Amino acid sequence: MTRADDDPGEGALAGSPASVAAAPPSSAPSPSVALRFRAGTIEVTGQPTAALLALALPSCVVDPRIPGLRAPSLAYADIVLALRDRGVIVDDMARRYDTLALVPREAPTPRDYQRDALSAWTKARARGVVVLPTGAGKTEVALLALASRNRSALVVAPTLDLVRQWHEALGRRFGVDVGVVGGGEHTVLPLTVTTYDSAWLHMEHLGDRFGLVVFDEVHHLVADSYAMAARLSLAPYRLGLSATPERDDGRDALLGELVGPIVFRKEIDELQGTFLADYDVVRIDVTLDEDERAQWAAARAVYKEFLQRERVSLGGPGGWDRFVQRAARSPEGRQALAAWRLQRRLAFGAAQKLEHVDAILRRHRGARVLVFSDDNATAYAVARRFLVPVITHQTKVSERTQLLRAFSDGTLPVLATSRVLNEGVDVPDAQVAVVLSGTGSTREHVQRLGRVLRPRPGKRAVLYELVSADTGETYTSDKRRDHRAYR
Amino acid sequence: MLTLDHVRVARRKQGLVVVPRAGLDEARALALLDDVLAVAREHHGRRRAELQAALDDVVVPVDDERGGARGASAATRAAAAAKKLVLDRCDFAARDDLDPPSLRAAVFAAAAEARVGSDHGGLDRDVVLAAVGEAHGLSAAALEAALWADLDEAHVVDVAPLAGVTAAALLPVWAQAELAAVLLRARQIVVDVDATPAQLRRLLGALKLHQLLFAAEPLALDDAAISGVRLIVEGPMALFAASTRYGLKLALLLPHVLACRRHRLSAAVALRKGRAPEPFVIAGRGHDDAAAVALPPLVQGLLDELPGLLAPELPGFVVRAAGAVVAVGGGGAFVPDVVVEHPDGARAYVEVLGFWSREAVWRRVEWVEQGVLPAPAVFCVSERLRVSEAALPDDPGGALVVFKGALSAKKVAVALTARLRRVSLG
Repeated sequence: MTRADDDPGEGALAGSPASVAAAPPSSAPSPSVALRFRAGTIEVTGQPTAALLALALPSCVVDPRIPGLRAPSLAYADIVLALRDRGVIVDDMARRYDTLALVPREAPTPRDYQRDALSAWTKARARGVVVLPTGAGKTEVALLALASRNRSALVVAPTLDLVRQWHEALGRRFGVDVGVVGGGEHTVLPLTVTTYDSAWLHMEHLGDRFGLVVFDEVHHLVADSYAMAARLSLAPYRLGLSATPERDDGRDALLGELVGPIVFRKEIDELQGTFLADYDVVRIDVTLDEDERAQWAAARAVYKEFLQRERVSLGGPGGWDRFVQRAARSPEGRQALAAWRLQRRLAFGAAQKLEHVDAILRRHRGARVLVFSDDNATAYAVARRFLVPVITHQTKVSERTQLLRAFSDGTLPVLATSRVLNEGVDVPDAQVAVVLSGTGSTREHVQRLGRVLRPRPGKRAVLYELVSADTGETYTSDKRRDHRAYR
Repeated sequence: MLTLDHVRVARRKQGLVVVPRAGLDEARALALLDDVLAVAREHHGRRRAELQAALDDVVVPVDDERGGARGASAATRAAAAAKKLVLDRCDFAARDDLDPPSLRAAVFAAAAEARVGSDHGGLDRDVVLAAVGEAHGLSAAALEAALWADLDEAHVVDVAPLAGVTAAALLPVWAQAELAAVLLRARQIVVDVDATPAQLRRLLGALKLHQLLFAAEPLALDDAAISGVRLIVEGPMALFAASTRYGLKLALLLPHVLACRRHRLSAAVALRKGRAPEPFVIAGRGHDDAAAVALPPLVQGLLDELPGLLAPELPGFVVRAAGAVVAVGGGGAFVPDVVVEHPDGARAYVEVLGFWSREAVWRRVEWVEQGVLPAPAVFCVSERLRVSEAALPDDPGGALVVFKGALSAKKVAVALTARLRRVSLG
């Protein structure tokens, strides 16, 4: 086991601007190399630049704007370890995170696979990704990791709903105040939760404050901007959590650099029936009505004609980008793009789908039902038609909290949403998911299924997928079901 | 703020240039802005979705002379830009006589109860809406309209901020917004400015506010009375990744650069992801606001009191308001507020940091410790920044004077005297 005192930040001379003020530098031992955190980077100074270069420190380059070197904060741990290896005294003014004394309150006994996950992560220098299906207790693994490291920690989550859930989980487990950055709040405490957006915005100011960063739903991290947040943090310890780390664009390869390798993995079918609820997947083909079909056909003709004229094939790599670029160049192109959107809207929002939703709600009266759509307009249409609550990006935090609580306790057993709850609701009693529309992303579809898989005695979950027959949605549906969870 | 979607950028031999108003001539641009302003004003008090729909109908006829796809594209961009400029100046707010979340909560609860109580699990929504509406003194139709009145598209348009805004007044705003839009994709900028101390201080203040790193060097200009400086500006991570992360920050510098008496901004701009950066230059003249800007009271107090305090100890030294940026060895710069100098060349600077960041103070302490300042400097720091004068106890290169509220000219004079005596004696 790696011990907490394996922290690269430990053992270096503790220093900070404040300590310089209290005790001028002349009274401190002569440092050989000074490390400072500056706007998400590490400044390495204290010796002539040539001497610093001779140390061959990882990721460091000469910065002509300072008398020294600079590295992304991501390299902090490697730099400190390299300096120690070379016997250099380090005046570490970069690290500003604390060693905590987290005492877990009542906690469930970890399941074997959760213990194994923690062990695998610890062996990997406390850097790496744990892959577990939704409902299998990824949060528990993170809470164990927090207690084992005992360092100031930042949890990064994709949505405000998840931020709220993490805030509650951390406070409940450790009985301490927990900070929140995002959604209009900015309270930074030794345990803090934030969104990926806020992490990107604020990490250059906060990147020195946390020794452990937990990236929930870590597959989001590899987007250009979010990846920057990981690079701006000096946290030596990093834990990524995901049910679906692989991405269609292949960028998940970046996770190794930003967080660490996949250190532990379990799939849905390995836990189904024991640690996850049994489930059924039901696909229902619906037909467009006469008017919808006529509009759909007309729009498709416009769009196809443009593709043929411009000789754009959407099947090949970069095909979609080429279409959008060509479409932007002419009125005909913009008409083609509008036609593509219209046919998609017609397929996604076919009137008959709402009739099926009505039937499903009747069939599962009293059960907790989540209705997912691809767009906000459809989510609001469901809310208007069935007078059920809806959560979109426009829903304020206070109302989200109330609605999720009411959904959880069964007062309001049906909840409509677009994409914002794909990863954002943790309700063990949720039993039925209805996918009205969605992208071709396997990850999104698996995440939506995961919403209803939290185990409960006697529970059998069901996911309904409503697909407009003889439209592009059939292909989209086939694409997103290409996962072992649907075989 | 406009984005590149609103702007037409052309490639010329010297680099990228913005095609003003995406190629729309001034007369048609004025007509377009007039139309958009009129539509916005007509929608005062109405729903945002109605304004958006009405703006969708405002189009720019394709220029007959240019015609074709390029003309249509220019018109589309220009129309989008004009609408964005006007929408950015409107206010939108939910009606404050309604409480949609409470109404929704009541409706959802009633609907859930009705569904559970129904034999077939169905719902008669009209009955639910009528019952809840009655309880709230609303008809079913009024309740349904009020249920979602807080959504963005239902927000009420307020054009009060457009009072006095004319199409002509928006033209220069449009021009500046187009330049800023290109800078959103900038990776690095080099700024040559000739500026008054107040202009420079604002520019450097903006750089620090946005945590942009810069190297500064004095700039030789033809007019000896004018001080110039070159600032090479980029984000700290720029060394490691060709990122446009700092583009917004660089764009936000633009007004401070344009305000300088003379300015030339050269940027490396990557218009698209993965594309090599291309040069983009903005050059021109701002205005000389030296006379218009009154000195801060703390600085004026020093100018009033220091001559009398220093005269007995430092004969021959003159105290005056500083007028130039001081470059610091190894990169960095600061703009002193006061210069104390002797005809033989000996001099010292005073800078009042007031409410700057602690980081700025520590940077100055490092400069003094590293001996990279061209002359001794006294940095006056508000106690709010929580630093100690002990950080620079007796350094010949500089001192910290911490003040609370009023700045003691006497303490500054003592610090200056100690350092300038050494310079004179040396």
